[in-house]
Amino acid sequence: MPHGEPKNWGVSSVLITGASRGLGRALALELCRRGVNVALVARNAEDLEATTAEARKLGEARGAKAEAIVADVADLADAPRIAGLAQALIGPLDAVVHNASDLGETPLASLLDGDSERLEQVFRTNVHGPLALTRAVAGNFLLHGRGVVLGISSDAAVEHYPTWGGYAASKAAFDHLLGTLAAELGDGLRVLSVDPGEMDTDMHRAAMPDADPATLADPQAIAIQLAHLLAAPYRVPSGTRLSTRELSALEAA
Amino acid sequence: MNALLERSVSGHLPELLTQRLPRPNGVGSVIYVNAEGASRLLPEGQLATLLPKATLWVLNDAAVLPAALWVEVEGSGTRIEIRIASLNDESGTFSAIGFGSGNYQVQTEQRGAVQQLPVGAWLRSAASVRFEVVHQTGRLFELRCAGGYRGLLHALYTSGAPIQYAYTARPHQLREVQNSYVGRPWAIEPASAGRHLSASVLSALQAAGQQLAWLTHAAGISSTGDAALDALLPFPERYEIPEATAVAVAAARERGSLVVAVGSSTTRALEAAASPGGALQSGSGLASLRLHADYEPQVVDVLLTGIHEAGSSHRELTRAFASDGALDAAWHLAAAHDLKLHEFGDAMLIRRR
Repeated sequence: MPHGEPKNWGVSSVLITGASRGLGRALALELCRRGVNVALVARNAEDLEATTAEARKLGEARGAKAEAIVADVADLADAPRIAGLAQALIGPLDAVVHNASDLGETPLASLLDGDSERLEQVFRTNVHGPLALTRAVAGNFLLHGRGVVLGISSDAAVEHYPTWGGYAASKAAFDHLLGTLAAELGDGLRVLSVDPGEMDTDMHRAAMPDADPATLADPQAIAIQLAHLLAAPYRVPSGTRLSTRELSALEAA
Repeated sequence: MNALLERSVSGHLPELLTQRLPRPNGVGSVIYVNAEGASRLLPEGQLATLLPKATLWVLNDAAVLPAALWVEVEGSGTRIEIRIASLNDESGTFSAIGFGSGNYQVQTEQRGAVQQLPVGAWLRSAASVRFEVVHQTGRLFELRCAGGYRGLLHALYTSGAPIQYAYTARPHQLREVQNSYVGRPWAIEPASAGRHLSASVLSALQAAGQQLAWLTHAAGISSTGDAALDALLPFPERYEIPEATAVAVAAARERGSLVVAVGSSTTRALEAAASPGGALQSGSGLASLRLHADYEPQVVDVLLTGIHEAGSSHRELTRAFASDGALDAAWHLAAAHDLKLHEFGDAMLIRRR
C-alpha cells in the first residue's frame, strides 16, 4: 500500500553491504534461498563474485536474483551509483542492510594511542557511508509506505571495552542516527538496529585472535534470525535496537 | 512562429533567468494557478497545506541514469558523445542521439554533426564496453551493447554522466539531479518537478492529511539538437503503475478528491494509462501521447511543473491545464518575484481550468 498502516509484509529485494564475507555473506545466501532478491555490495570483486554466484544458485529454485556491485561504502559520492545499479538489476528495493564495517587499526589500540586519521576512516565506513546510502534509497521507502533500514551494531555501542573505543563510538553514532531516522520517517517504515553478538568471522578474528571459536556464534545462525526479522519486520516497532536475545526470541515466536 | 513565442520575443513577456545550478531538494518557490486562472506566490511551506485534505499526490519515482557517454569510433579514433534517447527494455539495444565536437556548454543545435557510420561499426566506451551500430539516420542511432543490459549499465555508471544542460554553470553530478524519493533508474533526464518535494515535504504532506502514490516513468531526452527529431519528442517512454496507485486514483475520484501529478512525466503516464472517463489501468505500458492545448486531461486535476519559456514544448503541455492568459499572468508574477526557469528552477502548481 502506498499509505496507511502496513500489515503483513515482508521484504522482497534487499541491498546488503559487506556481503562477500561473514554475516553479510550468510545473510545474502539465506535470503536468496528464501526467494528474496539480493544486491550484494563489497570491495573485493573476486570474493563478491564467488558469493554472488553461490547466492544465485541458491535462489534459482524460487526465482530470486542475486547481483554483485563492487563498491566501497566509505566513498560517499558512490551512493547514487550503488542504489541505481542495484535497482536496475534486481528491481525496486524495500530494504537495506548496513552490514559493512571497519574495525579500525588492528591490533586494537587504546584511545590515547590510536591514530586519528584511521579513526576518520572508521567513521566514514560505519557512519557517513551508510547514511549516504540510506539517503539514496530510503526516500523511496517513504514514498512507497514501506521499507526496512537495518543497521548491524555491536554490544560495544553500549558497553565500554578498553581498546574498542573508536569502533564502539562509530557504532553508537550510527545507532543514534537510526533512532532519529525512525522518528523522522514515522511508523510505516522500519528503521532497526541489531546487535548480533560475537560471531566466528574474519572481523572477530582480527579483533580477538585468541578467542575460542567454539564460544562464538555461527554467522549462519544469526543470518537465519535476521531473515526471520526481514520476513515480518512489522512485528518490531520502528526505532528498536534488538539485542542478540531479542533477535533469537523473534525467531522462536 | 506561434503567437506566444512571437509575443515573448517581441518583449511582451518580461525575461526570466535560468537557475544555473541544482539547488538542494525542497528549495524553491511555487506559484499556484487556481481553476479560475488567478496566480499567487505560495508562502514557504504552504505547498503541503494548500489543497484540500485527502488530495492524492502521484509522483514519478524514476531515478536519473548517467545517460550521456563519450565513445570512440573503432578504427577511426573519432570521439562522439551518445545520449540515450530511449531505454524501454532490458535487451541492451537502445536508441541514442550522437553529438560530435563541442561539450555540454554548447547548445545541442550547435554541436558538431556525427559522421555516417556503416551498419556493424563499433563504438567503444572508456570502460571498454562495445556498442554495435544497428542503424543510423543523422544524429539518431540504434545501438546494441555487446555486453547486453549489464554491459550498458556498467558503461554508463563507470564512464557516463547525467545529461548536462548548456545553461548550467558547471557540470552537475548524478547525486545533484536525483529527487529525494527515487527508486529504479529509468529516467534519461530528471523528472525535475519532484525537486520541490524533499523528504520533509513528503512527511509534511502526509501530516497534512494528503495522500501519496507513485508510478515509475522513463522521462526521456528533452533536446536532440536536430529540429526534425525534436519535433518527434517526447519519444515513447515506458512506465509502470502499481495496482495500489490505480486503486488510490479510483478512490480519490470516487470521493471527489483532487489528483495532483508531480511533473509532466507523471502526467504523461497517468493520462496514457487512463481510459476515457478516467479509470486507470495498472501495469506496464509505453506512453506515446502528447499533451497540448486541446488535450482534455482524464485523470490529472492539478499539475506541479517547472517554469519554461513561451513557445517551448513544455509550455505547450501546460496549456492543457490553463489558458494562455492565465499562463502569461503566472509568468509576469514569476518575473516580479525573480523566480527561475528550467529544470533546476522554481515551479508552478496549476489547477485545471
